[in-house]
Amino acid sequence: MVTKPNQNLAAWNIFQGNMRILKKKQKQILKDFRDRLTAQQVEQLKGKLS
Amino acid sequence: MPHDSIRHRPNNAERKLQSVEVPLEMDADKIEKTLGTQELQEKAETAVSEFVQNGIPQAEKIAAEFGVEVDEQTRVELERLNIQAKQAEDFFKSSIKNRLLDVRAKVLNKVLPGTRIAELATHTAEFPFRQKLERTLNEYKKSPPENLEDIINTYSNYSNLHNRVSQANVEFPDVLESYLREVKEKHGLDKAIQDYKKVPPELFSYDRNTTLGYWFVQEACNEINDKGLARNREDAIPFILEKFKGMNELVLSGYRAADLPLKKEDILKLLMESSDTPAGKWGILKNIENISSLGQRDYDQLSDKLFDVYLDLDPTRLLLSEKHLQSFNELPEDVRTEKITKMLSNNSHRFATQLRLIDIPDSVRDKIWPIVDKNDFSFKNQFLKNADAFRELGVSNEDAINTTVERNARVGELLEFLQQKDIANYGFSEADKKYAYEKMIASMKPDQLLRIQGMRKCFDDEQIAGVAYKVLSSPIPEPRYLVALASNLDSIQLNSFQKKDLIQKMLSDPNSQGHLVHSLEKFGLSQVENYHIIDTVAPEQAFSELQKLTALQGEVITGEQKKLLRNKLAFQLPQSFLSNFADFNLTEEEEKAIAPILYEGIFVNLGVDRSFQVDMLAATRAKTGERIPFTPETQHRFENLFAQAKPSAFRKYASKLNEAIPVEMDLDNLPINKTYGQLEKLQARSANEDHDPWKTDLDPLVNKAIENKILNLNQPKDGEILVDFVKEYGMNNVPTILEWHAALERSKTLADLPQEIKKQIEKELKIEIGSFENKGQITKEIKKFKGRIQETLLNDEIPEEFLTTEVGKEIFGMLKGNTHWEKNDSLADMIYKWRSFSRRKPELAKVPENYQEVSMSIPALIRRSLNENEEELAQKKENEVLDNPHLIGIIQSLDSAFKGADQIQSTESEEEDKEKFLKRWSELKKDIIEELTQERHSLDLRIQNEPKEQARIGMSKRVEKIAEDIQKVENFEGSANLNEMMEGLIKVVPKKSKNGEAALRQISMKQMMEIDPAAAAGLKENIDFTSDRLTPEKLTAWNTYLVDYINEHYLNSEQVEEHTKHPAFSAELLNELKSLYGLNEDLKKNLVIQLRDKLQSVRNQGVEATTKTIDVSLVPNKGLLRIYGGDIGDACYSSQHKELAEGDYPGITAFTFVTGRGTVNERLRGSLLAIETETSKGENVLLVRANNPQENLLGQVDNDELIKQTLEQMKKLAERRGIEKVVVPLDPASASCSNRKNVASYYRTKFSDAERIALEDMPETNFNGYDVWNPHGSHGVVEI
Repeated sequence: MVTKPNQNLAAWNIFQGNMRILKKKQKQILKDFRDRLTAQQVEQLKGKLS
Repeated sequence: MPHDSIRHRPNNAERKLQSVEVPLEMDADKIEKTLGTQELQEKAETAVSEFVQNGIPQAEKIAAEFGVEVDEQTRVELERLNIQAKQAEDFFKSSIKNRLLDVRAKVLNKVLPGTRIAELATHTAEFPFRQKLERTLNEYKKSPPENLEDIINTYSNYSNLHNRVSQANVEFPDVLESYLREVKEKHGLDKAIQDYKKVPPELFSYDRNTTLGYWFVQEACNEINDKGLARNREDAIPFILEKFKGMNELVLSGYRAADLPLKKEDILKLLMESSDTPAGKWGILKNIENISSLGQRDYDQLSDKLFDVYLDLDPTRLLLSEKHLQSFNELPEDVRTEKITKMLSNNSHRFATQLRLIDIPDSVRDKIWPIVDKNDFSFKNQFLKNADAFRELGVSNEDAINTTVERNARVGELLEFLQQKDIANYGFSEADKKYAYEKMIASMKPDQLLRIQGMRKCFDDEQIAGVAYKVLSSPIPEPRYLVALASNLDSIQLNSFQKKDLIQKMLSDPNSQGHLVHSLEKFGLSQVENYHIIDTVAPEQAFSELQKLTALQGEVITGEQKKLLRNKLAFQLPQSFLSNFADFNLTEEEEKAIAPILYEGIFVNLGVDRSFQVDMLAATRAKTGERIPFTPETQHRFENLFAQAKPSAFRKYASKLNEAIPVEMDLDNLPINKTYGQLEKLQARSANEDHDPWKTDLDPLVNKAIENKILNLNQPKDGEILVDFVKEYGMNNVPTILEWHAALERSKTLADLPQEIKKQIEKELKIEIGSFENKGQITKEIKKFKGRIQETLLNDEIPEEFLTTEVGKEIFGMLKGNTHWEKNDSLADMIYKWRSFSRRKPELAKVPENYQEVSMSIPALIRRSLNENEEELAQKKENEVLDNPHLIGIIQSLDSAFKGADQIQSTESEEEDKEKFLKRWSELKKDIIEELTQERHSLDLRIQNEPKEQARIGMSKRVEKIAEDIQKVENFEGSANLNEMMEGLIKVVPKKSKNGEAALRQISMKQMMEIDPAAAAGLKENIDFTSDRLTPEKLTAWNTYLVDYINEHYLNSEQVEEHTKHPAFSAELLNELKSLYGLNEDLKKNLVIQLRDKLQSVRNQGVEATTKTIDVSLVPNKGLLRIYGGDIGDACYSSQHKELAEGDYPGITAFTFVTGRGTVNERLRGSLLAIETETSKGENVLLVRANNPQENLLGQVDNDELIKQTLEQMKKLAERRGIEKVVVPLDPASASCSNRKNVASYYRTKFSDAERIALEDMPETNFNGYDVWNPHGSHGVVEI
């Protein structure tokens, strides 16, 4: 019989960690994108209003 | 948050992973299921695809809300994240896979034999190859397959598998290696070569081949040597190439390790014809870097082959040559994309690839560009040459680009850059500019320019370097030097290839950069030629030698190494040079020459260069050699620097440093200088640096104390502590005791002593400090401890402290000392071995009866240290003695005769020896005839211009006589019987022929070598025949040979064959030879002898014999001091620790020389071996071997008296033991009699007439590989 230590779990945790960081970045990019568009829209509206 | 909950609450798959039991018989699929890896991988895939869905589609949704498109920047950024997520997934999968494979391998390995696994593996599954291979191999080593076929089959399977799994090179196991070794032993080398050829070449990796190649080439060299086919490795090359035909990879990977001096042409040929196997390709890649003189034509020739290799192994390189880049661009697009992606993922190639992307067609670049991190730049990248292109591509880190351009010193680019920036506004000062240009030129790659444009043109006005040079307001050394070099090169007698080579070596060596050029300038161009760098060793090699030394700092360098390095001075990197400065034993002249570059060494070596970079003005001035005032801060840095230097080196070179550094400093008043001055009064420097306690003990002690912040020698107080320590404990390298001592000195009372030191002392010395009243008691305990260890050791017992305490180990190291020959055997191991032997055979572990400690009283020598004036005067006198053209001529003629004779000395067959000699004679004959012919020609000329008839007739007669002589020489065929040869020679060659004399000298030397190889070997060992320089050592060695051997034996006036070992010479020949060697009259008139005596008296100035005596004890030992006797005597048998510890050689008892017996100054000063054995006739005999008092003891007492009394003591010992005869081996120093020259020469003078005695051939009489039993060998013994 061979006993298997949980090294695969370590690999899985690393993967999870990486994905978490990437998700944060992705979220930030999308947020920035939305903010930018909102700001543009506001500018446009301001322009229309004036 | 979902991911967090995954982490904290394991799901099913994860739970399984934490601890899974895998049944052995389970097959691959089942294992996977059991481990649940499939499940996890699917999870990862889902996570990533969700992530991707959440990216760009989400952005598009947002954009749609606002009624616009997603902009490019957002899209690219999100894409990059997607790629990274995909990478994370791949990485995870591959780790899971490896893990899985590993488990499978483990399972299979338990149930199947290795061969079966390999077979199975090839057909069924993938395996983590390396680990498994290793495991199985371990099994194999126990019972390797016996026939080649089995080996090949097994490993072919492995190799196929390995290629499939990792696409890496196959590590071919050493089973084959041992198989081949065995084949060679049993059936000879040729059979081994045949077998090697049967192995498919793709089974070898380059590295594996290196081991095998080394072995094969080495064995072949030995064979060639045994057969006498070639005299050295160079001559052996054609044979080797023939022998290994078709095994190019093997030779290519092994020749360097085996020291085979292949020429460039040979290597190129091997490269061109090497195979397409992995080993072949690696061979090309690795060797191409190592041929330093590869020219454009060679590259062109290899181009196609290189392209394939690079594409396969190192695609980045393809981007570096226009031609390769062109071919690369012709490849299909997807191949290129794949290759470049591979490069980008490789850390060491990433930067280069990024920057070269500019030159790749848009179609390929556009695909890759999104994954390049555009701000990820290395400032030191060498390949950036077009900054604008990068700007266009959106690389926004302007600073990075500019800095890179600047640092890369692409001169043209920099100039452009500076002009654009408007130099004046940029704020460059003149000094800044100058410094920048210097850096630039030092780091540019002139060799590339040179290859295309040639040296001269390089500095034409239109060329960038030329422009740079002109722009400067005042010239800086490097370009000025290069310009000078360019115009002077033609005047040096070198061919154009050599010149190019020289320049390339100087300028392209990345290690030395501009320093080399700078150093060369200081030496003057004419020196370049003298150093023969082109034909011999490249500066890089000298540099790596130095690096090795630096790494081994503290190790003693051999004389040979020193010589080698000294000759390379011109090419040293100053920083490495400095750290080894003291080890070079430079002459004053050499020191002067090197001084100007020394200061660079200090800066670069220890980081002060940074302070210079801040102070550019200072740096610039420093480089031009002006002395400048320093800021207090820099001055402080210097002081710190000096405090960190090795004490011995600092003391020796302090004044020289003062000259070399570009600042005025008052070195005399530095605290360290005072400290060292006081220390010198306590422990004088010893003449022989290798045995100077300043070097062996103080240097490492102080260095370690500074490193561990125990002492700061800039503080006068710390200096006092060090001086006190030496007073109390001697100049001994025992760092722990120094640490305690410092702590004790610093604390006012016992209570102040730091707790950890207290604890350490209590633990190590096994005492309770609590009960002590004052600090002095601790000091006493430490001294007692040290004394106790020494006493135990000399009583032939093993001090327990050696094993149980740190200080014990330190004291042991100090007592034992370092030797040239040291092997790192663990002390504990040796003690264990010896103890277990003592238990098994207690009677053999004890010193035999009647061996007892004895004491001798030896007259002391006092060497008064010379004052500076005296020293200078002595050096001057010494130089005067040596600088005698007549003497130099004599020594050179002796050297060349010896060298000539040595070359034709053959060891094996007489036939060959004869052949070689006769060949040499025909050469010598040619020389003689040429000399005579020339004389005739000049006479002919004079006759034509001679107005007087009478004179003309006289001269004509002489011409006739010369013609006759020529005929005679021509007709003299020579004889391999050297007596006959010489007798004949003096009859046919006219007396005044210089070449005739040279021939006679060479032939007689050959005879001397034959009849007394030991004497000749003694000479050879003491002389560096590779150098023409006349050193005191050379003079002394020749003097000894002339007086002790040639005059005493070879040309002994009695001419008795037993003594001269050659048939008697005729009176005429004897006379001729005597006058040839200047021995026919009063020896005092012989210039060599005369001047050597003079030299000796100069050297002995300050040595005064005294009536004072020194007590030297001889202490017999069987145990630890026998095991480490070689170390204590600094002798070669220190390689025998293990054997001695295991109780081998029971007949050997060691004696240790001890001075200051029983006092605090007790020191172990050397060792000798007393060996009880028998003559071949069965008489008991005491053999005295390895009689090695340490050099520093020899420097302290009357040598002859010490040796004489020691031998007398041995005779007394023999008497006590009932042994009749005492014998010593008669061989040169460093063989079996002793490693000390003085001992060997004492033996030679006193006993060389005695008859050799045959001893019983047994382990004791073969100890350490010397067959002293054999009266006909080179180490035979004589009775004393």
